[in-house]
Amino acid sequence: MVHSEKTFYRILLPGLVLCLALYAEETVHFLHYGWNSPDNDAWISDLSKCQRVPGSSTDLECQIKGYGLARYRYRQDAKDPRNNMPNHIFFVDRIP
Amino acid sequence: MQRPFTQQEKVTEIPYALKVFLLLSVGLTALSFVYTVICRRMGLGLPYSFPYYYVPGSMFSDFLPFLDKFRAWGTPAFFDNTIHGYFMYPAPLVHVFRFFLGIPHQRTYFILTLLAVSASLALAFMQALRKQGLATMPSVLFAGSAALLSYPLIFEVQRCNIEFLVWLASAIGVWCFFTGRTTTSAAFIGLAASLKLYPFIFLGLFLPRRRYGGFLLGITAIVTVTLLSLHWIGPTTAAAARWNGEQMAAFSKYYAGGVMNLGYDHSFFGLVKVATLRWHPDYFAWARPYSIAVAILCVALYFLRMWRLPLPNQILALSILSVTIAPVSYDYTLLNLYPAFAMLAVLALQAQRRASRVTHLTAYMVLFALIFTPQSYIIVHAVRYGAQLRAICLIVMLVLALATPMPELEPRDAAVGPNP
Repeated sequence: MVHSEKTFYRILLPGLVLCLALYAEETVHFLHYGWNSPDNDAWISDLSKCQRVPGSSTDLECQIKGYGLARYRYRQDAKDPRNNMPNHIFFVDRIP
Repeated sequence: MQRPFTQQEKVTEIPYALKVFLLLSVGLTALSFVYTVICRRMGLGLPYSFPYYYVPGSMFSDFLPFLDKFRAWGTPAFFDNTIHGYFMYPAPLVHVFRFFLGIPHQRTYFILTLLAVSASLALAFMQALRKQGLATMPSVLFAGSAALLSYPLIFEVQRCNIEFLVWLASAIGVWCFFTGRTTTSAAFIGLAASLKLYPFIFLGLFLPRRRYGGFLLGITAIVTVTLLSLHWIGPTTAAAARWNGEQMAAFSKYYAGGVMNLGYDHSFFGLVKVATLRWHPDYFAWARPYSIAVAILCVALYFLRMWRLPLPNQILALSILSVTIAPVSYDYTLLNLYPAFAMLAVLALQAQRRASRVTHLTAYMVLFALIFTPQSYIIVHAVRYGAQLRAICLIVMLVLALATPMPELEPRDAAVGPNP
């Protein structure tokens, strides 16, 4: 396909358009949610916005600006590579 | 005066190796995006040390945190690390940050400048391709695609790191050397090395060709720019030098041994860290012996092997070392590989015109495609290893560059000539 000029452009140009469209999608997503994107839950560093769910030792409910209430769960097996200790701040899973 | 290409010498097709680069770049970039989008739709959390694309606290994080510090410019508070933190860059960058942070809409102007620099370098690349006889449309397509699909550039925009200015200066320096303008080259490499230290390594191009004047000019440029910057920081040059020394030392103290950012740290030391992480060594204690060992190894490599190699091999090898030997090297520094990449594209066109070949060219292009795309899917047990894949690709590329000599440039472009 690389040797045929026509096939090369037939693959390359739609591929480029796809990449640009996906990049635009990511950008629009960021512009909508900004720094508080609920997808960035693994990096929630300000747990002061969160409250423990009554009766659960692992679940949290966090108020995310521009998104609303989202529920997260500590990732029990996650280890901070700095010291191999559980690090709940860096590893929080969002419960869909 | 250069002779224009005749119709027979014109290259209408993009060379095979460059086509491989483009197709692979498109495929790997699309795969990275699709992976990210699917993970998001499924509500999966991002892996540890994930830079791609928008993470809280990461956006513009190499620019905006200095806002308060530079508001205190001209007061003792500026020099106080306890109030506004450290400024872990060489002295000349104080004035660059002071300029950008002192204007209104600083973030907008910073990004616009970054994009203007990137667009200018892409245009210069396109022009270099056209100069080699490649028709305008393929030149635009290749240079434009390489720029649009550049993960280091996206990461640079995300962080708003000052790296783009180092990239600009070192790209001009390396390209001027490549095309024979050694005096301009020395001045720009010196300027780049005064902004961040590692472009200093490119002064290694001058010695094998006995361009001692250029080497000294480069050193003079570094010293002059640094001294003038320290003088303007004040209150005295000596006091500013002490303060700047403290700031730079803080980098070794707080960053060199860190493992928080391994997901986008493609340095060789990062690879060592990942390989030994399970034993939890004190990497801060390792940083100094590592740096000394790497410096000795690089000097040995330079005199025993690189010295005798053709210019394209030297440029490629030094470019790789410039972005890998520091104890920490985040992915935006990969921008400094683009001059070597452009040089290989030029060699590919020259080889195509002469119906000859550049050894390992396709392999280099495959490795560049892996290095210049996001690799967001290289994740094992919630930890991202994209940067370590890049480090391995860079080692392979370095070995190839040191092992197999490439052809020198054609006489019409090679004003510096081969090694004596």
